[in-house]
Amino acid sequence: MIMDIYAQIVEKIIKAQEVIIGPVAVEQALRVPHLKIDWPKHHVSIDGDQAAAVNSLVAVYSELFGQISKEVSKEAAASLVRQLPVGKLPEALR
Amino acid sequence: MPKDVKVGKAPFQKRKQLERDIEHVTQEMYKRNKELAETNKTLSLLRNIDALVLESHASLKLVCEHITEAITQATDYPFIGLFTRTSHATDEIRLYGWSGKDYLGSDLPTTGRDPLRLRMSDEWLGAPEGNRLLALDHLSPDELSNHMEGSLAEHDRALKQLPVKTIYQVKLFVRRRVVGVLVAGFYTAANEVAESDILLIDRLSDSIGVALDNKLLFEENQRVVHQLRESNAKLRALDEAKDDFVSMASHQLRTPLTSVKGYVSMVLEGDTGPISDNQRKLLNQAFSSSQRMVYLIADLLNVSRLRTGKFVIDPTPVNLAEIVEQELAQLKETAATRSLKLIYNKPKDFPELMLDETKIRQLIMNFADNAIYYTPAGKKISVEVVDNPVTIELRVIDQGIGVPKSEQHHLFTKFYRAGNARKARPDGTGLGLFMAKKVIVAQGGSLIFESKEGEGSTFGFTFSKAKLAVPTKSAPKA
Repeated sequence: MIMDIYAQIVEKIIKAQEVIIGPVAVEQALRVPHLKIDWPKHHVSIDGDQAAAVNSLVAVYSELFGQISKEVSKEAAASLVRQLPVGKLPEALR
Repeated sequence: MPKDVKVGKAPFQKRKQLERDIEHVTQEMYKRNKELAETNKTLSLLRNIDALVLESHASLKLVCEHITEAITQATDYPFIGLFTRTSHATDEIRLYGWSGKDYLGSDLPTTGRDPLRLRMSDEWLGAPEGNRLLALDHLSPDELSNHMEGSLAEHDRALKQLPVKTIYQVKLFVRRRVVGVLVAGFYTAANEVAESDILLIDRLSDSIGVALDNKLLFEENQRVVHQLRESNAKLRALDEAKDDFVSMASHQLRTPLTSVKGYVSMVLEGDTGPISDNQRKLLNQAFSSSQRMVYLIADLLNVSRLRTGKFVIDPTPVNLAEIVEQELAQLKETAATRSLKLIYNKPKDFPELMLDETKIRQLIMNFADNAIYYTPAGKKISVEVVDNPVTIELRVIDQGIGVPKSEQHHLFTKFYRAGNARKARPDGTGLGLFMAKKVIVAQGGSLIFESKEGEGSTFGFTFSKAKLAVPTKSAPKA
């Protein structure tokens, strides 16, 4: 159940970034380790540490586009983050 | 050597500066793109809302539901509620649309069986402007009672049904009046709600307000149309009942009147012995009055027949000049008692035409009778029957009160009577000219009407001789 939520969070973040920067959002996400993305089908899965993968994704955007992109990621994930236990919350979304 | 070091440092610093510049530009572009994306989202939502309202024939409630669904889909807000007036006439604002079910996992927030209602006495609602953020996580059911109708238990339940920390409420104004309230729920605390979300809700509020107002006006208009249709149906039923009564009463009146006319006629013709001149004069008066009553009843019957489609023209060969002479003869006494000069020069060799004799007699009597009643004593009335090369004409020309110009276009409508005519003769039916026009038009003729208030009127008709030609009898076979 929680695993699904992480994947959903990743999907939400990519979607929100895509609205702003277009296909670059997907290209950058594909470079994140442990993320398996089939974007045409909007299918996302994570191998390994789920929270770490989310942190990496947020960091990729944030390195390129700064703090504001981190806020966009947090806003996009807001509705799902509340479903996670506090201890399981990815650092980047706190 | 230090020279070399200086040379090596400069490109490195420049590169660093360049990288910082690129980073800055990239972040600025990201910021601008984000703003554009938000504007695009707002515009797209506004377009969707406009389309929903313009193209929708759905009820107000359904439109509210569609609007909130559209906002949720575009924004992902955990809760969007749309409170609206149920009509412009009532002072009640109800939750008619809401969206966010995916996260709440419950049905429409209610107070008992009814949708949530805002408390109209809430000071915020009455204030001329202002939107507000309400922190729900610290709001007690008791405090909620200041804003919502319902019991404490219902408020407690409503708060539990809305697991959001903050709600942002925007009053929807149209013509300086609140038509509804848009509510957005957030999981974040009041001080953490993004400015862009507030901006988006604010921008949508004008458009949603207008949409609700238009829908309210449309629904009210539909209600009025429905009421008018019902009233019309009732009036039509009453009109039919009245026509049925008129038809029945006219038939009942005609039978005894025929006896009256018949017996008066017998006395006039000497069947009961000789009568004095004075008796003849009085009996003639009684006879012509009876005849006028017959025509009046015929008018009523014809109006009834027009409605039922039984009004038919029965043409026979008729000499108009003679008919006019006979009808005017009945009015001579009346004209004389009113000191009116009734002039008619009967033309010689007037052609026979195919006309409905009864109806034409009635029509002539109607024109002449009107002329007598509406012409002051001492004036004259001329009746002209003219045989033109292609047409025939009849004109009844009086020097009477005339018809006011502003009322002339109503004159031939059912039951209409000009103001000055009502004063001069309160007992008229307003059917004579209505039926006259019908009779003329039904036989292919044209109405003649000219009038000047205070100077007199001309009523008449013209018919094409070719149209009313009497068919030639075929010669008997040898």
